[in-house]
Amino acid sequence: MQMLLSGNQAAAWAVKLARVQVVSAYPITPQTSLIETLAQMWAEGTFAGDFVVVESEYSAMSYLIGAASAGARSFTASASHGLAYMHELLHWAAGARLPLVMVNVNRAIGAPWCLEPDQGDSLSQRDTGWIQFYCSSVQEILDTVLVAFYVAETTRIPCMVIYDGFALSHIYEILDLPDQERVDEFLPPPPGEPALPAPEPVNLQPLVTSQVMTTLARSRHRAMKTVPRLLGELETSFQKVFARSFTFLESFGLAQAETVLIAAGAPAQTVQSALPDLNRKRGKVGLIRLKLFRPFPGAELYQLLENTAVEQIIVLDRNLSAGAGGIFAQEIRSALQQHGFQGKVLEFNLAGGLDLTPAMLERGLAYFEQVSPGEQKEPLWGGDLL
Amino acid sequence: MKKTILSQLELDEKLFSGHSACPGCAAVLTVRHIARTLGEDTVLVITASCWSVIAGAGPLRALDISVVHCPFPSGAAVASGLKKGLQRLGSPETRVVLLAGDGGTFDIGLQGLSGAAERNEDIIFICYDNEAYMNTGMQRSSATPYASYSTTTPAPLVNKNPKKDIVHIMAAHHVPYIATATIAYPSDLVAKIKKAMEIRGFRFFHIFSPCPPGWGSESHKSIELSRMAVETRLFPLMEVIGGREVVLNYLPEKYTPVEDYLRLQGRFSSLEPGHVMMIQENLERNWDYLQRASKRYRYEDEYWS
Amino acid sequence: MPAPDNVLGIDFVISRGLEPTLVNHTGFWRFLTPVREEKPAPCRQDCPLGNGIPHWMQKLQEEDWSGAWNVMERYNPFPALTGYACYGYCQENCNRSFYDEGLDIRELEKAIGLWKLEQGKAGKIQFRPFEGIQPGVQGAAKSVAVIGSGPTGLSAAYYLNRLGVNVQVFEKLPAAGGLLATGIPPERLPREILQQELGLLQQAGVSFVTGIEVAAGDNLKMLTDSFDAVLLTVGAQKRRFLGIPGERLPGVYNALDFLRNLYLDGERGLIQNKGRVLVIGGGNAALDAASALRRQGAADVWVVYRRGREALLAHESEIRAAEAAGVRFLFHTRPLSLYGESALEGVRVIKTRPSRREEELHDLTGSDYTLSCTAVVLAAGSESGLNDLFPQNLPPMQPGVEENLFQILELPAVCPERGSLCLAAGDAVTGPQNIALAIAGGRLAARHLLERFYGKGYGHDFFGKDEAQILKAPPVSYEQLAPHYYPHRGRSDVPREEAARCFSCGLCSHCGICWFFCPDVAVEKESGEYEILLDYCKGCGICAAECPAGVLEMKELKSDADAVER
Repeated sequence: MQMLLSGNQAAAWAVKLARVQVVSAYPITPQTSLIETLAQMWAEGTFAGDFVVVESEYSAMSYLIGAASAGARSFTASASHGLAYMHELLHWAAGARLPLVMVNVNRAIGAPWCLEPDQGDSLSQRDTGWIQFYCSSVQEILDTVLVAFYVAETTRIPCMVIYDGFALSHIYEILDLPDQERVDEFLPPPPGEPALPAPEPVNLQPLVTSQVMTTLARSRHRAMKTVPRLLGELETSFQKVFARSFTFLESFGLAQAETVLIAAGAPAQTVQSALPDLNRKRGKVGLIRLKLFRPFPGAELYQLLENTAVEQIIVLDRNLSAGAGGIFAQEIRSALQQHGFQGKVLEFNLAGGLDLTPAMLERGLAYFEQVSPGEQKEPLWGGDLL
Repeated sequence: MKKTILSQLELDEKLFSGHSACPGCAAVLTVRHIARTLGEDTVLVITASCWSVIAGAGPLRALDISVVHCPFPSGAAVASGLKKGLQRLGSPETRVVLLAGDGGTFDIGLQGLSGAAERNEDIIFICYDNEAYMNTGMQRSSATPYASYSTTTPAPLVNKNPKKDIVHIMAAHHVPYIATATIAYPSDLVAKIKKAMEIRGFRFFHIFSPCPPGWGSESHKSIELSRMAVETRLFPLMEVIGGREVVLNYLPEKYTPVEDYLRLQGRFSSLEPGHVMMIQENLERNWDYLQRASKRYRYEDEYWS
Repeated sequence: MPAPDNVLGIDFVISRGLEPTLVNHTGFWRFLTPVREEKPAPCRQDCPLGNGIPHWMQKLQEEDWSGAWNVMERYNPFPALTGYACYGYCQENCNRSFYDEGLDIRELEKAIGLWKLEQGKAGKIQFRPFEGIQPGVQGAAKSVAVIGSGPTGLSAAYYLNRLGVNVQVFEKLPAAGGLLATGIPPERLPREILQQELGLLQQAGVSFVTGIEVAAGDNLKMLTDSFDAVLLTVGAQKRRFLGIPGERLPGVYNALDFLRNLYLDGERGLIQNKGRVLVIGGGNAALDAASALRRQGAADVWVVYRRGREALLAHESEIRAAEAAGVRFLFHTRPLSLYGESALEGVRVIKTRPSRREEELHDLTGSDYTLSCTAVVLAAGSESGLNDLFPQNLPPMQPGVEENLFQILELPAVCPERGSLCLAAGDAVTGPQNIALAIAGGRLAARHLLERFYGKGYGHDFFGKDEAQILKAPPVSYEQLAPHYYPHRGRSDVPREEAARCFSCGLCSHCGICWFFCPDVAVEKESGEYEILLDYCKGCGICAAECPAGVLEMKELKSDADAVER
């Protein structure tokens, strides 16, 4: 069914279609309309799960840890400071291998107050052990939430679906809304037994030694590493059920490209739409859309670039690790270097949630044409191009 | 008394020997009997506290009921979510009981506690109050009494703030059931747990729990100190029903002077006579208030309804 | 290491504790060990019988009357007699009196005694032979002649008979009972109770011969020839005189004679005396006689005593009874002579300087004066009946057994030929004492005889473990108890309730407090007893601090084995 929905509404629909049993949330801009949509569905009785508004993001995530321990399919959504407030619990959920799914709507973290879609909030949670997806369209938000449940429940690793505040959360797009039967076919009830109630009394998540902790860490790492393979297998079944594709790494115009832009989230959509124009004006530009950030698909990324003429990669980061640079850029540089990529990885930084316009893109590419390899001392600041 | 104690003998033991609580720990003893009373269809949620260690490290477990650990401030919400999850997945009768120390209740856990109480979550929140952060070695909390030493309020300055009145904070949430208890009065404790088990909604227990190493008291005095806390009226045994009906369960026949109680504890060793007088006066005021409240609240109830 | 649990080939491990902490033997943390030791309760220490009061209190609490009697019987076969007539030394230092009100132990003892009489009459309890008697012994039945049917004689007869010995009791008076019949007012000991006890003894197989006085010489020899042993329980009723002029005048009576004639024959001559009667002496007999006189109607009765009230030898209850009966007292006064022409007319007395009982007495020179009276009752004490039995010279005696105050004597010279035994016990050995000690003497004599007959250890099955060691320890003090588990409550008329007030000082009452308050689950109920699991006990000491009976104590032990032995 074709529908006109905002990103937040699409996420809410996905939650409903996934037959989520427990939702616990706390409002924060720009996530608010997501939980409002769910609340409305809940009030109307179309959302059959429990919807609990708690007194903080901290408790929202805690609540889900409890619910998921009993095996309930659970969901929450947050943004920015709210996500930061959940921080220790994100670690806990991952350590307890609870298949939670949450949406984070990117928003800058203060000080000062800023509502723009900086990715720093979700990237601050990079090492909490959650799978991270960055979405670029309203349709993709809906699809990714469904996939996230599948992946989380299969790997028992919690999964964060991330998209840009306002640019996606509040933008309306026409999407294909699957009917319930198709979703049910794609997403069966979670496999395995819940931790509680246990058949025999159990002491769950007790104090352990470093030897146990290292075993647990390695296990989580190994499970994480299976995610790209799992997503690869999923492509077929997703295609079969929903008659559209789902990929975690998408490329455009790589065959001819000498310069490739790598972007995640809404900026990727901007680049994609500007690509024909850029190729006409600047020539030989391609795009790689990074959708999966954790686990980092380094090998898969390199495979895309292998046997191409790409010499220069420009990473669009709407985030900043002050003193180091864009976070995507660092990860991409390190992964490609590891695989033997010879070209340069350059940084185009939109920290603070700068909106990327085609004009800025063009100016940026012009700048990078002037930079001879190895001379970029610091990122190209998007703010300088305004 | 004897009957209550011996009737407990018929229930299955839910605590194993070999746990790592310090000798004379009142918290472990209290939970031992609470767990017996609760029975096996119970999940105990434990926030960071001495009990995080007592419940068993590594592959071990000290309790014969299921336990799930959770981060320090998260207890009330984890327990609430767990209850919801169990209800959704076909175990609606399984009781969810949260065990938190005074830190996880009075301090870092207060927000989550308030939230769960306000939502009237169907859980039993048990705060065992040993009046400081004991698992980390006796740092002050907002449950630490006035004039007590702690490693963060060393002598001669000692703790200058009075203990937070958690029962009244909880009473203001108008939850179905609040009770105070101590292991020194087993029939009272067991009866209150049983009563709470019959009530739906949020139930809060404030349990006084001496800690020999932290308090600098002799390990065999834990029960005596609990008893003295009640006999001095420093820790009145009471219930608050629906937030408005205050019931004083025990009126001591003879009031033990608070000095007798303080003298048994190293943490009050730098106490001056002025301190003792202030503690006694404060206690009298509180008792006076409670005695009036235990009648007046009922009256007001009629007035407002 | 946590157990791996692969779902769809994906690594999945979570941390789970499944194994009980029992593998941690926390007992090695301990430096003090709780040790359970029975200690004497003050009531037991004060009781001349060493009666295991807390033991039968526990049975009474459960309304287990037959259990209570079984315990009682080991210490005291006549609880009805003592329940009525004992002064109740056991109640004097009851720890409960520091808490609210001391226990009414004597009432409960009496209740058990009355239960025993009732059951015995109905034939519902048996007194012979004891089921635990060793096989092979019954065939060689022994026989004992008991001379004197006072409390000592009856007690010895009871136990000997109970353990398979044939017993014949000889009494010189027409009725059995000794001092119980002749010395104790019927108000204190109803005579039908005594009759019932005697009846049960006969029913159990003890035979009584009354009205026959045994005398030294052929008479006694006849008995030693025909019995395996002769037990002399002749009491201490040989009258003593003051050794002053006029003691043989008409109108001068002896207190014991007066009481015996009153209680046994209803002789009331003295009572009808309209004038003043002086009772001289300060012991129980003096006060008893004075009270009896007043109660029976004598108008003007005085007790004349050489020291003050605090030095009176009589039991406080007797003094109070006399005061209540309207007896008047003349203290610090000593008789010099009794005078009269043909009958008593008065007494010459002298004042004495106030002094304590252990101090020498001094007259106040020149303070003598004359007291007119119509009768004098002398209660100048009495001495062992053995002196009556052997008026010429006492045969050599040697101590039999000494256990606290209980003493018996062996008289080997009395019966050398046949190898039979002759023993003395009770007041005859100790001098005038009290009913409880007299019963204890009989019990001791019986045990001694049984061991002489059948070898050491015989009868232990019946009498239970040797408690001499226990009773030597200091009594449990109030401070050693944790009484707060008992609600404050005064005495109750209901035996079960009154018994439930017993703190069970020094004796495990199986209250389960040690088990309940053990933070380490290191107390286990094993075959009815609470045992400390030393593998896990961390030695916190809560069990000992909270033990209401003061039975547990923290001790530094060299090894766990030390604790196990105890």
